[in-house]
Amino acid sequence: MTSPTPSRVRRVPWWVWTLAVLATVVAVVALLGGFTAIPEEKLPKVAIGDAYVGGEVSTVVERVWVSNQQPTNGDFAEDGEQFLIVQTRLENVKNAPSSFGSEVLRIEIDGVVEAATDPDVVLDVLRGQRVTSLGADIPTTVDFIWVIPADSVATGDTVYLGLFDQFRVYGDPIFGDGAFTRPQVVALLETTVDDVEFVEPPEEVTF
Amino acid sequence: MLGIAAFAIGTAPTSEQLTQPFYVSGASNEPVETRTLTVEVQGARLTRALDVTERQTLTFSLDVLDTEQTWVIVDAVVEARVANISLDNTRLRIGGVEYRATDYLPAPALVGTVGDPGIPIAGSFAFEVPTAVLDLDVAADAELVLRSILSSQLDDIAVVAVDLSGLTVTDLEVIGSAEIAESRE
Repeated sequence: MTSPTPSRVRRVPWWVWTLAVLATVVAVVALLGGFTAIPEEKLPKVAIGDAYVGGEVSTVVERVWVSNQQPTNGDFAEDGEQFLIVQTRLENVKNAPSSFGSEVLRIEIDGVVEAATDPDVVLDVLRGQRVTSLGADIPTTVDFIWVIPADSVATGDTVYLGLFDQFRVYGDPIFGDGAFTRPQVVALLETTVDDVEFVEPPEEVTF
Repeated sequence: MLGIAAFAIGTAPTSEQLTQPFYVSGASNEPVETRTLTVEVQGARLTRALDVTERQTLTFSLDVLDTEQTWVIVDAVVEARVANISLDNTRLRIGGVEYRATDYLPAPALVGTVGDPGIPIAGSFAFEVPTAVLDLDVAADAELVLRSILSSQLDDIAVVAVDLSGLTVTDLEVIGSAEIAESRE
Protein backbone atom coordinates (compact mmCIF):
# COMPACT_ATOMS: atom_id res chain seq x y z
CA MET A 1 0.00 0.00 0.00
CA THR A 2 1.41 3.36 -1.02
CA SER A 3 0.95 6.56 0.98
CA PRO A 4 -0.71 9.53 -0.81
CA THR A 5 1.81 11.90 -2.38
CA PRO A 6 1.50 15.54 -1.31
CA SER A 7 0.33 17.92 -4.02
CA ARG A 8 3.16 19.79 -5.72
CA VAL A 9 0.96 22.87 -6.11
CA ARG A 10 0.69 24.59 -2.72
CA ARG A 11 -2.48 26.53 -2.01
CA VAL A 12 -1.87 30.32 -1.94
CA PRO A 13 -3.03 31.74 1.44
CA TRP A 14 -6.08 34.10 1.30
CA TRP A 15 -4.16 37.02 2.75
CA VAL A 16 -1.72 36.98 -0.13
CA TRP A 17 -4.61 37.42 -2.52
CA THR A 18 -5.98 40.26 -0.37
CA LEU A 19 -2.62 42.04 -0.33
CA ALA A 20 -2.21 41.55 -4.07
CA VAL A 21 -5.61 43.12 -4.77
CA LEU A 22 -4.87 46.06 -2.45
CA ALA A 23 -1.46 46.62 -4.05
CA THR A 24 -3.07 46.57 -7.50
CA VAL A 25 -5.68 49.16 -6.47
CA VAL A 26 -2.99 51.43 -4.96
CA ALA A 27 -0.83 51.06 -8.06
CA VAL A 28 -3.69 51.92 -10.41
CA VAL A 29 -4.67 54.99 -8.32
CA ALA A 30 -1.03 56.13 -8.25
CA LEU A 31 -0.67 55.63 -12.00
CA LEU A 32 -3.77 57.74 -12.58
CA GLY A 33 -2.27 60.52 -10.45
CA GLY A 34 -4.62 60.06 -7.51
CA PHE A 35 -1.92 60.75 -4.92
CA THR A 36 -0.44 63.75 -6.67
CA ALA A 37 -1.38 67.26 -5.66
CA ILE A 38 -3.04 69.22 -8.46
CA PRO A 39 -0.33 71.37 -10.04
CA GLU A 40 -0.98 75.08 -9.54
CA GLU A 41 -1.04 75.74 -13.26
CA LYS A 42 -4.05 73.45 -13.57
CA LEU A 43 -6.12 75.30 -10.96
CA PRO A 44 -9.00 77.39 -12.30
CA LYS A 45 -8.21 81.05 -12.94
CA VAL A 46 -10.55 83.82 -11.94
CA ALA A 47 -10.41 87.54 -12.68
CA ILE A 48 -11.19 90.69 -10.74
CA GLY A 49 -14.98 90.90 -10.40
CA ASP A 50 -15.54 87.18 -11.03
CA ALA A 51 -17.27 85.14 -8.34
CA TYR A 52 -15.58 81.95 -7.20
CA VAL A 53 -18.23 79.92 -5.40
CA GLY A 54 -16.63 77.51 -2.95
CA GLY A 55 -18.28 75.00 -0.68
CA GLU A 56 -18.95 77.63 1.98
CA VAL A 57 -18.19 81.07 0.66
CA SER A 58 -18.59 82.90 -2.64
CA THR A 59 -15.63 85.23 -3.18
CA VAL A 60 -15.41 88.20 -5.51
CA VAL A 61 -12.11 90.08 -5.48
CA GLU A 62 -12.95 93.68 -6.29
CA ARG A 63 -9.73 95.64 -5.95
CA VAL A 64 -6.12 95.52 -4.74
CA TRP A 65 -4.49 98.74 -3.63
CA VAL A 66 -1.97 100.20 -1.21
CA SER A 67 -2.52 103.09 1.18
CA ASN A 68 -0.93 104.65 4.21
CA GLN A 69 -4.43 104.94 5.73
CA GLN A 70 -6.50 102.05 7.00
CA PRO A 71 -9.79 102.21 5.08
CA THR A 72 -12.24 101.42 7.85
CA ASN A 73 -11.04 103.33 10.88
CA GLY A 74 -8.83 105.97 9.25
CA ASP A 75 -5.73 105.02 11.24
CA PHE A 76 -2.43 105.85 9.61
CA ALA A 77 0.36 103.35 9.12
CA GLU A 78 3.47 103.62 11.25
CA ASP A 79 6.50 105.32 9.73
CA GLY A 80 8.07 103.07 7.12
CA GLU A 81 4.94 101.00 6.68
CA GLN A 82 1.80 101.00 4.55
CA PHE A 83 -1.31 98.89 4.13
CA LEU A 84 -1.82 96.42 1.30
CA ILE A 85 -5.58 96.08 0.93
CA VAL A 86 -7.55 93.45 -0.99
CA GLN A 87 -11.22 94.36 -1.10
CA THR A 88 -13.63 91.49 -1.56
CA ARG A 89 -17.31 90.76 -1.58
CA LEU A 90 -17.96 87.59 0.40
CA GLU A 91 -21.18 85.66 0.76
CA ASN A 92 -21.72 82.63 2.91
CA VAL A 93 -23.55 80.15 0.66
CA LYS A 94 -24.24 77.60 3.39
CA ASN A 95 -27.42 77.50 5.44
CA ALA A 96 -25.61 78.31 8.69
CA PRO A 97 -22.96 80.81 9.84
CA SER A 98 -19.47 80.23 8.47
CA SER A 99 -16.22 81.01 10.25
CA PHE A 100 -14.25 80.46 7.05
CA GLY A 101 -14.51 84.04 5.75
CA SER A 102 -11.08 85.23 6.86
CA GLU A 103 -9.45 82.13 5.35
CA VAL A 104 -10.72 82.38 1.78
CA LEU A 105 -7.89 84.43 0.36
CA ARG A 106 -4.12 84.88 0.58
CA ILE A 107 -1.80 87.02 -1.53
CA GLU A 108 1.72 86.68 -2.84
CA ILE A 109 3.90 89.56 -3.98
CA ASP A 110 7.42 88.65 -4.88
CA GLY A 111 9.76 89.81 -2.13
CA VAL A 112 7.02 91.58 -0.16
CA VAL A 113 4.36 89.12 1.02
CA GLU A 114 4.90 85.38 1.03
CA ALA A 115 2.02 83.17 -0.05
CA ALA A 116 1.36 81.67 3.36
CA THR A 117 1.30 84.95 5.27
CA ASP A 118 -1.94 85.58 7.14
CA PRO A 119 -3.36 89.09 6.80
CA ASP A 120 -2.78 91.39 9.76
CA VAL A 121 -6.49 92.03 9.94
CA VAL A 122 -9.65 91.07 8.05
CA LEU A 123 -12.36 93.70 8.41
CA ASP A 124 -16.05 94.09 7.64
CA VAL A 125 -15.95 97.41 5.78
CA LEU A 126 -19.46 98.52 6.74
CA ARG A 127 -18.81 98.21 10.46
CA GLY A 128 -15.06 98.14 10.89
CA GLN A 129 -15.33 94.88 12.82
CA ARG A 130 -12.98 91.96 12.48
CA VAL A 131 -14.64 89.22 10.46
CA THR A 132 -15.06 86.22 12.73
CA SER A 133 -18.16 84.76 11.14
CA LEU A 134 -20.22 85.32 8.01
CA GLY A 135 -23.98 85.13 8.26
CA ALA A 136 -25.80 82.94 5.75
CA ASP A 137 -26.94 84.72 2.58
CA ILE A 138 -25.57 88.10 3.72
CA PRO A 139 -23.18 89.55 1.11
CA THR A 140 -20.47 91.44 2.98
CA THR A 141 -17.70 93.73 1.78
CA VAL A 142 -14.52 92.55 3.46
CA ASP A 143 -11.02 94.03 3.39
CA PHE A 144 -8.00 91.75 3.82
CA ILE A 145 -5.16 93.97 5.05
CA TRP A 146 -1.43 93.28 5.29
CA VAL A 147 1.09 95.73 6.74
CA ILE A 148 4.00 95.95 4.29
CA PRO A 149 7.13 98.10 4.07
CA ALA A 150 6.56 101.56 2.59
CA ASP A 151 7.56 101.97 -1.06
CA SER A 152 7.77 98.19 -1.53
CA VAL A 153 4.95 98.09 -4.09
CA ALA A 154 4.14 100.34 -7.04
CA THR A 155 0.98 100.87 -9.06
CA GLY A 156 0.82 98.21 -11.75
CA ASP A 157 2.92 95.64 -9.89
CA THR A 158 1.68 92.09 -10.42
CA VAL A 159 0.14 90.30 -7.47
CA TYR A 160 -1.01 86.70 -7.18
CA LEU A 161 -4.02 85.74 -5.13
CA GLY A 162 -4.95 82.24 -4.05
CA LEU A 163 -8.58 81.47 -3.28
CA PHE A 164 -9.10 78.78 -0.66
CA ASP A 165 -11.75 76.27 0.28
CA GLN A 166 -12.11 73.61 2.92
CA PHE A 167 -13.76 70.23 2.69
CA ARG A 168 -15.92 68.37 5.16
CA VAL A 169 -14.49 65.37 7.01
CA TYR A 170 -17.01 62.74 8.02
CA GLY A 171 -16.83 60.60 11.16
CA ASP A 172 -14.28 62.66 13.06
CA PRO A 173 -13.93 61.16 16.57
CA ILE A 174 -14.51 64.56 18.23
CA PHE A 175 -16.57 66.65 15.80
CA GLY A 176 -18.46 63.85 14.06
CA ASP A 177 -19.47 65.06 10.62
CA GLY A 178 -18.74 68.67 11.53
CA ALA A 179 -14.97 68.65 10.93
CA PHE A 180 -13.14 70.16 7.97
CA THR A 181 -9.84 69.73 6.20
CA ARG A 182 -7.19 72.43 6.35
CA PRO A 183 -7.88 75.22 3.84
CA GLN A 184 -6.60 74.34 0.36
CA VAL A 185 -5.98 76.61 -2.60
CA VAL A 186 -8.63 75.97 -5.24
CA ALA A 187 -8.35 78.87 -7.68
CA LEU A 188 -5.84 81.53 -8.68
CA LEU A 189 -6.18 85.19 -9.56
CA GLU A 190 -3.45 87.30 -11.14
CA THR A 191 -3.91 91.04 -11.16
CA THR A 192 -2.07 94.30 -10.58
CA VAL A 193 -1.94 96.87 -7.81
CA ASP A 194 -4.65 99.36 -8.72
CA ASP A 195 -3.26 102.35 -6.87
CA VAL A 196 -0.71 103.42 -4.28
CA GLU A 197 -2.29 106.28 -2.41
CA PHE A 198 -0.79 108.58 0.16
CA VAL A 199 -3.08 110.52 2.47
CA GLU A 200 -1.43 113.37 4.33
CA PRO A 201 -1.78 112.59 8.05
CA PRO A 202 -3.15 115.41 10.20
CA GLU A 203 -0.59 117.36 12.15
CA GLU A 204 -0.16 116.10 15.67
CA VAL A 205 -1.62 118.46 18.25
CA THR A 206 0.55 118.96 21.30
CA PHE A 207 -0.60 120.58 24.52
CA MET B 1 -23.29 36.27 6.47
CA LEU B 2 -21.90 38.99 4.21
CA GLY B 3 -25.43 40.11 3.42
CA ILE B 4 -26.36 40.31 7.07
CA ALA B 5 -23.17 42.27 7.83
CA ALA B 6 -23.86 44.69 4.97
CA PHE B 7 -27.42 45.20 6.21
CA ALA B 8 -26.20 45.81 9.78
CA ILE B 9 -23.62 48.34 8.63
CA GLY B 10 -26.03 50.03 6.24
CA THR B 11 -28.74 50.50 8.84
CA ALA B 12 -26.56 51.30 11.86
CA PRO B 13 -26.93 54.86 13.17
CA THR B 14 -24.06 57.23 12.44
CA SER B 15 -22.02 58.73 15.25
CA GLU B 16 -23.78 62.02 14.44
CA GLN B 17 -27.15 60.39 15.03
CA LEU B 18 -25.98 58.64 18.19
CA THR B 19 -24.83 61.90 19.76
CA GLN B 20 -27.42 64.32 18.42
CA PRO B 21 -28.80 66.83 20.91
CA PHE B 22 -32.25 66.80 22.48
CA TYR B 23 -34.39 69.66 21.20
CA VAL B 24 -36.69 71.20 23.82
CA SER B 25 -39.31 73.24 21.96
CA GLY B 26 -41.65 75.90 23.25
CA ALA B 27 -43.58 79.02 22.34
CA SER B 28 -42.89 82.71 22.89
CA ASN B 29 -44.10 84.28 26.14
CA GLU B 30 -43.73 81.04 28.07
CA PRO B 31 -40.68 79.61 29.84
CA VAL B 32 -38.76 76.91 27.99
CA GLU B 33 -36.55 74.90 30.32
CA THR B 34 -33.51 72.84 29.36
CA ARG B 35 -30.83 71.17 31.46
CA THR B 36 -28.73 74.32 31.57
CA LEU B 37 -31.10 77.28 31.14
CA THR B 38 -34.59 78.68 31.17
CA VAL B 39 -35.53 81.10 28.40
CA GLU B 40 -38.65 83.15 27.83
CA VAL B 41 -38.93 85.03 24.53
CA GLN B 42 -40.90 88.22 25.09
CA GLY B 43 -41.17 89.56 21.56
CA ALA B 44 -39.47 90.43 18.30
CA ARG B 45 -38.77 93.67 16.43
CA LEU B 46 -37.51 94.46 12.92
CA THR B 47 -35.32 97.44 12.11
CA ARG B 48 -32.90 98.80 9.55
CA ALA B 49 -30.36 99.97 12.12
CA LEU B 50 -29.36 99.24 15.69
CA ASP B 51 -28.52 102.03 18.11
CA VAL B 52 -25.72 100.53 20.18
CA THR B 53 -24.50 103.80 21.69
CA GLU B 54 -24.17 102.18 25.10
CA ARG B 55 -21.43 99.95 23.73
CA GLN B 56 -18.17 101.21 25.19
CA THR B 57 -14.88 100.06 23.73
CA LEU B 58 -11.36 101.37 23.80
CA THR B 59 -11.00 100.89 20.07
CA PHE B 60 -12.90 102.02 16.99
CA SER B 61 -16.61 101.61 17.50
CA LEU B 62 -19.90 102.57 15.92
CA ASP B 63 -22.93 104.02 17.63
CA VAL B 64 -25.28 102.80 14.93
CA LEU B 65 -25.05 99.38 13.36
CA ASP B 66 -26.35 99.56 9.79
CA THR B 67 -27.17 96.70 7.49
CA GLU B 68 -27.90 96.27 3.82
CA GLN B 69 -30.57 93.79 4.99
CA THR B 70 -32.82 93.81 8.08
CA TRP B 71 -32.08 93.36 11.76
CA VAL B 72 -34.31 90.99 13.71
CA ILE B 73 -34.25 91.75 17.43
CA VAL B 74 -35.49 89.06 19.80
CA ASP B 75 -36.08 90.21 23.37
CA ALA B 76 -35.76 87.49 25.96
CA VAL B 77 -35.13 86.65 29.58
CA VAL B 78 -32.54 83.92 30.15
CA GLU B 79 -31.70 82.25 33.42
CA ALA B 80 -28.82 79.85 33.91
CA ARG B 81 -29.76 76.74 35.90
CA VAL B 82 -26.56 74.92 36.91
CA ALA B 83 -23.66 77.27 36.09
CA ASN B 84 -23.15 80.46 34.12
CA ILE B 85 -23.57 79.82 30.42
CA SER B 86 -22.29 81.18 27.15
CA LEU B 87 -24.84 81.95 24.44
CA ASP B 88 -22.35 82.98 21.74
CA ASN B 89 -23.73 80.30 19.48
CA THR B 90 -27.36 81.46 19.51
CA ARG B 91 -29.09 81.26 16.13
CA LEU B 92 -32.33 82.36 14.51
CA ARG B 93 -33.64 79.64 12.20
CA ILE B 94 -35.92 80.62 9.31
CA GLY B 95 -36.89 78.14 6.64
CA GLY B 96 -34.00 75.82 7.47
CA VAL B 97 -31.35 78.55 7.34
CA GLU B 98 -29.62 79.58 10.57
CA TYR B 99 -28.59 83.20 11.17
CA ARG B 100 -26.05 84.06 13.83
CA ALA B 101 -26.58 86.54 16.65
CA THR B 102 -24.34 89.57 16.40
CA ASP B 103 -21.89 90.07 19.24
CA TYR B 104 -21.62 93.80 18.53
CA LEU B 105 -23.96 94.86 21.33
CA PRO B 106 -23.53 96.85 24.55
CA ALA B 107 -22.05 94.69 27.28
CA PRO B 108 -23.20 92.83 29.20
CA ALA B 109 -25.27 91.20 26.49
CA LEU B 110 -27.13 87.94 26.25
CA VAL B 111 -24.61 86.92 23.58
CA GLY B 112 -21.78 86.32 25.95
CA THR B 113 -21.71 84.80 29.37
CA VAL B 114 -25.06 84.94 31.12
CA GLY B 115 -25.03 85.31 34.90
CA ASP B 116 -25.04 82.88 37.74
CA PRO B 117 -27.74 80.27 38.27
CA GLY B 118 -31.05 81.57 39.50
CA ILE B 119 -30.53 85.15 38.28
CA PRO B 120 -32.77 85.97 35.29
CA ILE B 121 -31.17 88.32 32.77
CA ALA B 122 -33.28 90.38 30.37
CA GLY B 123 -31.73 91.44 27.09
CA SER B 124 -31.84 91.18 23.34
CA PHE B 125 -30.41 89.08 20.56
CA ALA B 126 -29.96 90.74 17.16
CA PHE B 127 -29.73 88.86 13.88
CA GLU B 128 -28.94 90.20 10.42
CA VAL B 129 -31.38 88.52 8.03
CA PRO B 130 -31.94 88.99 4.28
CA THR B 131 -34.94 91.29 3.89
CA ALA B 132 -36.50 89.04 1.25
CA VAL B 133 -36.62 86.13 3.70
CA LEU B 134 -38.84 88.10 6.07
CA ASP B 135 -41.47 88.44 3.34
CA LEU B 136 -41.75 84.66 2.96
CA ASP B 137 -44.35 82.50 4.72
CA VAL B 138 -41.58 80.75 6.67
CA ALA B 139 -41.02 83.97 8.64
CA ALA B 140 -44.10 83.10 10.67
CA ASP B 141 -42.38 79.90 11.81
CA ALA B 142 -39.01 81.31 12.81
CA GLU B 143 -37.23 79.71 15.77
CA LEU B 144 -34.73 81.01 18.30
CA VAL B 145 -32.17 78.25 18.89
CA LEU B 146 -30.11 78.54 22.08
CA ARG B 147 -27.09 76.31 22.33
CA SER B 148 -25.52 76.92 25.70
CA ILE B 149 -22.21 75.41 24.59
CA LEU B 150 -20.46 75.09 21.23
CA SER B 151 -20.78 71.33 21.07
CA SER B 152 -24.29 70.24 22.02
CA GLN B 153 -23.81 66.52 21.56
CA LEU B 154 -26.23 64.65 23.84
CA ASP B 155 -27.25 67.92 25.50
CA ASP B 156 -30.43 69.97 25.47
CA ILE B 157 -31.02 72.77 22.98
CA ALA B 158 -33.86 75.22 23.57
CA VAL B 159 -35.92 76.01 20.46
CA VAL B 160 -38.47 78.80 20.85
CA ALA B 161 -41.05 79.67 18.17
CA VAL B 162 -40.96 83.32 17.10
CA ASP B 163 -43.53 84.75 14.67
CA LEU B 164 -41.86 87.37 12.48
CA SER B 165 -44.75 87.85 10.07
CA GLY B 166 -46.52 91.17 9.84
CA LEU B 167 -43.98 93.12 11.89
CA THR B 168 -43.23 96.71 10.95
CA VAL B 169 -39.65 97.54 10.03
CA THR B 170 -38.53 100.64 11.93
CA ASP B 171 -35.62 102.90 10.98
CA LEU B 172 -33.80 102.54 14.30
CA GLU B 173 -34.10 100.48 17.46
CA VAL B 174 -32.12 101.02 20.64
CA ILE B 175 -30.31 98.04 22.12
CA GLY B 176 -29.26 98.54 25.71
CA SER B 177 -27.20 96.37 28.00
CA ALA B 178 -28.69 93.20 29.40
CA GLU B 179 -29.76 93.59 33.00
CA ILE B 180 -31.14 91.59 35.87
CA ALA B 181 -34.83 90.93 35.39
CA GLU B 182 -37.49 90.52 37.99
CA SER B 183 -37.62 86.96 39.19
CA ARG B 184 -40.58 85.00 37.87
CA GLU B 185 -41.30 83.54 41.30
